[in-house]
Amino acid sequence: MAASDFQGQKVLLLDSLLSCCYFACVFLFLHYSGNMYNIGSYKFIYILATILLSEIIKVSLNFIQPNKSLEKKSDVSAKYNKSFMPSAKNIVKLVIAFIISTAIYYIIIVFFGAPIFTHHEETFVLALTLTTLTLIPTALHIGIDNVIVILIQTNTPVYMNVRLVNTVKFHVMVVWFGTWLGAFVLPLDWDREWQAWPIPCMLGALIGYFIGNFITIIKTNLYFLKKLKKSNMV
Amino acid sequence: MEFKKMKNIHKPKKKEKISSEYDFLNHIIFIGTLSVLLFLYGYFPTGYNETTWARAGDIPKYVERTRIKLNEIYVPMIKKLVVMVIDALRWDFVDGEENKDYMPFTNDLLNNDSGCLYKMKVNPPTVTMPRIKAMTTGTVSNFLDIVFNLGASSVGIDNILWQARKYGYKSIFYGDDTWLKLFPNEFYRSEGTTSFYVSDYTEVDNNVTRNLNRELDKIDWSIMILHYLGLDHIGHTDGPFSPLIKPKLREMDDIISLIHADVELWEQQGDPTLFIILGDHGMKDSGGHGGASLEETTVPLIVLGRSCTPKYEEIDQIDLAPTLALLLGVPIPYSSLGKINLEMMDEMSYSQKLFALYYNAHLLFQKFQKKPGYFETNAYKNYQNAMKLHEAWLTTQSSSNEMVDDIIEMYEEAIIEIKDDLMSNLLKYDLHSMVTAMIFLCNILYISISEQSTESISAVKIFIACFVNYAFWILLNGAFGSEAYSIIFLPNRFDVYSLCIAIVGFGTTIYNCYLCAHRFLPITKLKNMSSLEGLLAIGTLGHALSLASSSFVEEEHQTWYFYWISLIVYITFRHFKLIAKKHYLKSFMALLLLMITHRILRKLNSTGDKYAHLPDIAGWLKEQDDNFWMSMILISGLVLLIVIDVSFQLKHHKMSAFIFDSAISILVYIRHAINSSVIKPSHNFSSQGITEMYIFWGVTLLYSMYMFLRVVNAAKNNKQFLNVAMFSIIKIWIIVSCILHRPYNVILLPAQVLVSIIIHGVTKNQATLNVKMYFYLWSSNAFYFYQGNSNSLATIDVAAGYVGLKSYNPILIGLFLIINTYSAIVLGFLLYIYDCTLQAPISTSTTILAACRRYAFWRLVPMTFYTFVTSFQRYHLFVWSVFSPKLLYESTHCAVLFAVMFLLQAVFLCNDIITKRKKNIS
Repeated sequence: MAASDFQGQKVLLLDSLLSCCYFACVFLFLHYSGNMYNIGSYKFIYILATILLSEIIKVSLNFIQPNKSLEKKSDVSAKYNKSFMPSAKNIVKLVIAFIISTAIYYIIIVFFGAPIFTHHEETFVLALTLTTLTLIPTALHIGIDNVIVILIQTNTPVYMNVRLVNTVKFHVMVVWFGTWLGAFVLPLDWDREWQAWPIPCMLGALIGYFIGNFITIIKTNLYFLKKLKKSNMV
Repeated sequence: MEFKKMKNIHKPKKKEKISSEYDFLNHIIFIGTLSVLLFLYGYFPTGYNETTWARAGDIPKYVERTRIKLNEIYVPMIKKLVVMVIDALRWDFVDGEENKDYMPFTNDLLNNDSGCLYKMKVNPPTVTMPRIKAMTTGTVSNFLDIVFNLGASSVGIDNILWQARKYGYKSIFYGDDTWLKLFPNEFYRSEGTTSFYVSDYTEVDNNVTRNLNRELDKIDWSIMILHYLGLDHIGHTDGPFSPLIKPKLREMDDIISLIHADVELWEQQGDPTLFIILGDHGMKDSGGHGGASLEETTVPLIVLGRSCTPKYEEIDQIDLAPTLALLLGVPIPYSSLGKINLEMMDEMSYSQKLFALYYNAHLLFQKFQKKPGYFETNAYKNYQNAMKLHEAWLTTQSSSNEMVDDIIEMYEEAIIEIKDDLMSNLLKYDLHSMVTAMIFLCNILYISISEQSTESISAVKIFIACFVNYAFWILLNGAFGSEAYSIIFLPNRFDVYSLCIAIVGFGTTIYNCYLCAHRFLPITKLKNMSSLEGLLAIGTLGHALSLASSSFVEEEHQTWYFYWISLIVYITFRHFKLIAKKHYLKSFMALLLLMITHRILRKLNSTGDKYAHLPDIAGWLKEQDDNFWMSMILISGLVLLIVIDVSFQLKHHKMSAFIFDSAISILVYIRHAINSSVIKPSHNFSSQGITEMYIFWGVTLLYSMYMFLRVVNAAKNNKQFLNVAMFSIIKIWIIVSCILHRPYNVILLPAQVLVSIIIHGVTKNQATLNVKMYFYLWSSNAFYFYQGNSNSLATIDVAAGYVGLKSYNPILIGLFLIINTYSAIVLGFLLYIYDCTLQAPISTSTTILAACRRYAFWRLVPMTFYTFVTSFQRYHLFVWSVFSPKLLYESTHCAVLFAVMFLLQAVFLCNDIITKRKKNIS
């Protein structure tokens, strides 16, 4: 158990490190290409595609590792593992979930006060970004079926990797919180170009994702430090 | 759980507990209201709000008993006047040693003695609007006169432009459009430029100069006012040492030389002209302005065209209005506190000068003599002596120059002394009152959140509390610097009045200390708080903190809308997990309905500052010619109200409730039909709605009596007295709000009740009442802003004050305005209490009083914090436009809520009596 836990932590660390790195690249690219204030337009979809691709690559990298070391599991975990398989069924499910999630995000954003009749592009891009940052990593990490299970059930089922689920949940929370916090500057009368809808929320979401991963890095490092101390003491 | 534990502890002395809960609430209510009033008193110094406008008859015709030939003595000295205001022209731009080459032409004129330079002192706040008011009215603007104008921003008091227009002078104006807002009717021709884009410093000035070139060729005007904004804009963006300053001042210099050439021309044509150039306020070294530093309050005043004594005389900005009035031969504005400047009137004869001084002193003395003990002052003696000598001089006509000089000196001394005395009452914040109010507020804030400790009280604790208060007092006074000045706490003389105030103040402090010492903070409760409750508390606290920023104050409605929808979404998300169970689907749908309602209602009235102009539903409804949709929305609001009311009545009350509700709804509809805001059922309404309103109040009274009987009945039968009583109170409040609201806002009332029903359903299984409270608090604030309210005084719906009134009745108008404006706030609170009473059998008067206390705490938090904000920001740029109106709104909000809490206690007291009786019977 301890070994698999150790392994899990390693995977998390690697995962978050990669996320942070490519996110830093995204920010740098946005800054130097002068597109920082265009993140509300359809142009940003290219970046989102990049993020999507990076997530897939990242997960497939991790994916190979733990599978090797994981021992035989029970039937439940076999079912659990099945939802990871990049089967046609899972891909279709993911695409449908993607569309539904974007639609729900769009509606919620409008409820929060986004214009109904104008700014469709901006609101849509924000909804798309939120889906990319919340649904995709979660689905890739724990499987699309399990995402629905977690959404409906109050407690995390025992057969799941609790630490992984909690970390992924935490990342989602931070993205939401970042987006929510970003909205506060929207109505203020400072007349800055970065106050235009939906730039603060987009930045909030992106920075939230970055910070979430960063905190995970720190957490795992603390775990390793503790481990190191323990082993030294022994 | 929590509650039961508490109850067990206090069981032995339960009776005492109940009475003390009342005591605490009343203490909070009274000291809270008192502190708010005290703070307002200190923050808006009570000057006088003169509404008198000077007429020709106000110019005195006699000095003592000698008649003056006014048509010889009080005559215009100039025919034309050009005033050039250069925004933020600070003193050293003209006079600075190294800045001689900034304005070469002007400096040449000054060196040749063709003009005079005066050092002008201006009063804080050094912002354009109050400064323009000071220049034109001659008084230091008092914020309260804006309040009495109810947000209309035009100058409501006597001013030089009004006087000039009355006397047939035609004024034209070009420049900052603040002037046009202040004086919408005084100008014959005008064009304003907005100072909206601070980064633009060329276009704003070119717009003025373009018009200037045209106007200089015309001869139909007599007063021209120019207000150049460019310099101020450079200051804001780049500061006073920017390289942009010099070219800008050169540009100004060129304009001065252009005007001066024409002034000389007019002079030769026999049109004596005065040309003055001045800054409205200065500029800090960092570029901004608004405060009270020397760089901001010292500006140059250049007088060209007329001969004057070139002295480095220091004059006040408020001296300008009376001086110009004299030169133009119009009455001095009544509100003026200024002293005329004789150096600018060299061409006047002695008799004219003396009369001018006499008139000036006479006007000031009229105000001065309202003060008790004025006859003991030196000023009074000087004034009397000067008048006697003046009369003697007039009757003998012994033109001894020395005697005239003596009289002038006496007059001036008297004028200066009276002026200083009058000014000191107007200008300063009463910081001692403010600090005391803040400390009181902090005390009751602690009292309202803490719990009574069971230990016996110790002297040491009281001493510590006193010491903390004292230290805080010293600290705050220190923080506000040397301006410490007070009418209340440091009177000049010792009398009964000040003794009373000292006793009340001291007594309150001691009692506060005693109560504080007897209480402790329930930290364990804080730890046991659910995560939702914690989040809600942090959110509410965050709102209070956001008030420190003027932008957040302006857009406060956005904060509440955002909070409210966040809360709904959060709750919906939590419910989403439970959706599989059947009965949760219903509340999930209800929450969805809440979200949709919120999204629609926030579009009902665009409010705030920046986005208030956006199209909204109310605006669209008003635009429609046939009023069909307006009628529909009003009818649907009324029908919803009836449906909700009838469905919540007991079976055998349904019929009577339906009849009464329908009658009232029809009357409400008729009231709007008479105003033609909804479709009229018939065209022959004989009265202007007065009779209908009498019928409405009659029916309402009848209905209230009927409900009162029901309440009494419930009390007799020991059946849910609290419940029925609260229901009746809510209903009366809704009926009264209903008649006062605009037709499209009536829908908000059933919507708020629906929201409370949903809240009740959703929070049913939340263990504590606390979570519920935040729901009601947040939703009532959201509804307050749905209604179209904002933190600008301009959004108060003044029309609501005059509903069904034939004559001006200030008390009723005030009451109506308050009910209409704070309708949602009070309704939210009443619904919260009603919801608490539904928690029977747990809820007793004690728990509900505790709930009230917690509600009061959350009202006091923003209030207390805001008093600190306004005290520290009292020289902020937006103190007039943002902070002061918000302070008034906050204070009224507190006062209204506390008044409602106070009155509600009657219901709780009755409930106590009934429960006692019940116990005795059983």
